[in-house]
Amino acid sequence: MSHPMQASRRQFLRASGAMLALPLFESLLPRSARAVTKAPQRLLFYFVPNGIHMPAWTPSSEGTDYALTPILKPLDKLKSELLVISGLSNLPGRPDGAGDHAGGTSAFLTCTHAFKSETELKLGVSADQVAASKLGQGTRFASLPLGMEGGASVGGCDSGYSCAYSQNISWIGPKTPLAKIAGPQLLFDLLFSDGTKGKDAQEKRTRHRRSVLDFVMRDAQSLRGRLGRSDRDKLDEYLHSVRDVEQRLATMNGSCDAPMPPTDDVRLGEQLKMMSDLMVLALRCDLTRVMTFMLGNGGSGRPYDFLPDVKGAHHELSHHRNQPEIQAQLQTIDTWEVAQFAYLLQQLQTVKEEDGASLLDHSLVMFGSEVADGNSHDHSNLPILLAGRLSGAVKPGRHIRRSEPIANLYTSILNAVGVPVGKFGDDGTGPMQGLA
Amino acid sequence: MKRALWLVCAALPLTSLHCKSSQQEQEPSTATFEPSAPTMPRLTTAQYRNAIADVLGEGLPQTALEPDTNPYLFYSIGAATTLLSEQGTQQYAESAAQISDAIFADAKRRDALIGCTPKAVSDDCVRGFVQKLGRQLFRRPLAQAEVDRWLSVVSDTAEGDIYRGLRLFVYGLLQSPRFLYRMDLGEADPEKPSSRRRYDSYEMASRLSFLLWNTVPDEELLSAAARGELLDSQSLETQARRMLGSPRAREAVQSFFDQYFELSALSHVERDPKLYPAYSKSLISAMRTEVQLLVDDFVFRRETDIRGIFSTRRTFVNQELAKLYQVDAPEASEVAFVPVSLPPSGERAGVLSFGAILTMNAHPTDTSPTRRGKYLRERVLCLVVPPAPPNVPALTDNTGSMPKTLRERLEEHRKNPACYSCHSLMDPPGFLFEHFDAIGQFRTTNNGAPLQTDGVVEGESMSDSRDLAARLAFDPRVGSCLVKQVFRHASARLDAPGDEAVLSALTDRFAESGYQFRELLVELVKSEGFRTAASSEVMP
Repeated sequence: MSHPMQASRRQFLRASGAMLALPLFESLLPRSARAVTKAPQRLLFYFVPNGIHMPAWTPSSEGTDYALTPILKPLDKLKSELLVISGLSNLPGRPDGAGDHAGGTSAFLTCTHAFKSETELKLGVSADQVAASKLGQGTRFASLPLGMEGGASVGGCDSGYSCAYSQNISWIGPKTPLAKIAGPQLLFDLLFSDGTKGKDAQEKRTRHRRSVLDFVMRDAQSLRGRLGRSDRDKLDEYLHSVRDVEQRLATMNGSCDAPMPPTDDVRLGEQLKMMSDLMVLALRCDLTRVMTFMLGNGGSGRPYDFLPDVKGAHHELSHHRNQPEIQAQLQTIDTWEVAQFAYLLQQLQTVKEEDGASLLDHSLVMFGSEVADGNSHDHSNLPILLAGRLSGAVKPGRHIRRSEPIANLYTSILNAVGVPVGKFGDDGTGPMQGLA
Repeated sequence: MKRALWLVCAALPLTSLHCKSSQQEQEPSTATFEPSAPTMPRLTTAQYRNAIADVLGEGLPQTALEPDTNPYLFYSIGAATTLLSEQGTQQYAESAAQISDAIFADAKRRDALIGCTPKAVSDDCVRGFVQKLGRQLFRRPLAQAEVDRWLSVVSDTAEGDIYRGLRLFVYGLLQSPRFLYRMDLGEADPEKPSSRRRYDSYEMASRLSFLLWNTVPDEELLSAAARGELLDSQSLETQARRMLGSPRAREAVQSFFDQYFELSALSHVERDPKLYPAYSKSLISAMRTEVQLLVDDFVFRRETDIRGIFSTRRTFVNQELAKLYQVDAPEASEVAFVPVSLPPSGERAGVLSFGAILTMNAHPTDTSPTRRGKYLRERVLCLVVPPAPPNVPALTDNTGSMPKTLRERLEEHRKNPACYSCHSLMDPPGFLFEHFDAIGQFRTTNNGAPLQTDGVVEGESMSDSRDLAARLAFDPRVGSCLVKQVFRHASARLDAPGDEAVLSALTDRFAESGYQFRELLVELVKSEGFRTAASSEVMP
């Protein structure tokens, strides 16, 4: 093959020194030393498409006494839990020529410039996946990439960019987006497909499966000797993952009773509410500690005609050409999105953990979009909103202004969850100050 | 997306060198074939599902798998170059669990699959089952020691219930890299033992099967391999012809053309119903079906010169497409497609002027001559068009006096030298299709101004896409390009300079056959490009 094999998350982490030393076959020991004394940290990245109507988003003053703007109004009761950050940029998201939605979406969590092609993917590892290498070790799912709009990662979607770029924010490696689980029904099936059996049966089953996987790994060892370097890497990568699966099977704390299955109410608001409830449940039951969520795909053309006075599809409207009547419709959509986000935060806040603090206190939830304004397609002055305290690593209740790459925010977040990266993405320069 | 047309090509003098030559883009050819290292693709989703259905039975659970990717158009290349994510591994585990559970939860299905009644872990029934399933899923017989090892899995997990042990055996088998990866490494080639390897009989059975049927080998192929066949042209040809006569080959060929034409792009098509009242999801899906029927017609029903697909006036329409093409098809309905002959005087000729390809190469609100031209050059002629130069800023507003038609605007764009070099290769052939709008409807005006469809393509004046179609029907590059694409698909890699001799020999044989696609496949599986590999570099 004329192009080299992609680097995977594991290789990326190895290179950045962030990988824990886990030799391939030493880790088949039971995971006994899992004394969780403290509630774990959780990360959730919440993506909305097509930017935000910034004049109605950005608070006019900084510090703790800022006033909530019209779009942020639905977050009124949660104001003390919010950290609004203005001024951050994600310049690697600027496309080559047209394609701002693909460029911005693919850079959203990777801070990497996407290679413009409908057929060949080249990007980087996303921040959530780097975080998952640490936070995801003890849970059933290392991370959950979620969304409300599906779509296969082949073909072109935006001006010469592969659909993979505008439909995914979680990237495990430069060529590999993590496919989203789209909608509450699929998420429910994933979380609870196994949950109907009794505990004893479950344990026996788990033990058997682990021993079979152990065998599969040992059996495959004999293959390695015949393979060339890159193929051997590929095999090792697979076997490493099998080991992870095997270890996840041993994780018994991440389980909870299945709730009522989602209803077939197709209204977006209802679907989203069910999705949010399942997301909170998955975090509460510790099935995963890292999530990404895409309310829509980058550049989504979803119609919002169920909202008052909104006529037309989101992407189309986002090209508002500075016409006030269109901007007003965008503001309605944006405010609705923030209200859905507020519901999720409220649910996180009501869950109390063993130490008495809320799930939100132990989490960091980031809200953002692939561009700032949908008409000018800015990749700077992005609408970024954090919520939660990440077990004390973040001090909310403020509006701050930071003229630096969003990569630096990710660096700080990764450091706060225990991944020692120095800088992140194409344009990161180091950790961002001022989170706490 | 409309703004794609409004790139400002800032003065970037270096980039103007990229697209100077349109003809001299071939790699320098080498006289003799030099094989490349083998690739190790994972099974594609379709191959995985087909294998499960063929070996374990129809109707088993199909849970989500890691999606295929298609770098350089082909899933096989994606499967050979991307690493499986941890989530993908977990999905394989989940799939293996659900499939093995489903088999053993249904006594009838279970007994039919096992074919005998196991009494003890050490009996012949269990051993036979392990051997049979292992051979089918791993595409080669298990060695004695391997059988013993898998039998120990059965006994270790049975705990008094043989079926539990067998279920977990199936669970494990489905997660073995021997099943999930195609590790064809070859053996020393007796003709050139020091310099290259040839794929052994079982590997050839597997290569034939994945290429021609998109699944694991059947009993006949495995038996041929057991007899040491499939190493010579004669037995390969016999098997290839047998396989091409089966309906499974039609599916596999369909899948190749689906990837080559990149019809998956149609699933993302969105159109504003105000601008395109004829647009609907069912219309788009009919367009895809039309191309599939055309392919089947050219490859299987008529066995004719495949290049004709680029000039044909005979096609297949349902009601919706008939309306779009303004052609009479009284027998057509929503679901029934009927063959029609488009009028010889009509504007439409060849697949490039049919709905699917016109639509996928257009924007949501307008056509894209650039994309249509690029598609012609890259897909049909295998000529290279470099990506747009980096960091070209996009205009945010179209103010001032705008030229009226899209063509006028693009011509304005090409006045910039940095843009000219590439756009001059893509836009003029694209202009030939300007009388078809963004869903492939015929039109005579654009934004109220009359359309111009003429252009000079490779030095030849053409009045519209019909002239292009007439030329493509006899253009040898259409044949050589198809050879290259099939070769990439079959080898799960890009062609390398060392493949030039094989590609050119295949192109000659393809031409001699009158460009019959099935003959190309037969020649391909017989060629040394498909049967040999370089010794892979082994780590110390």
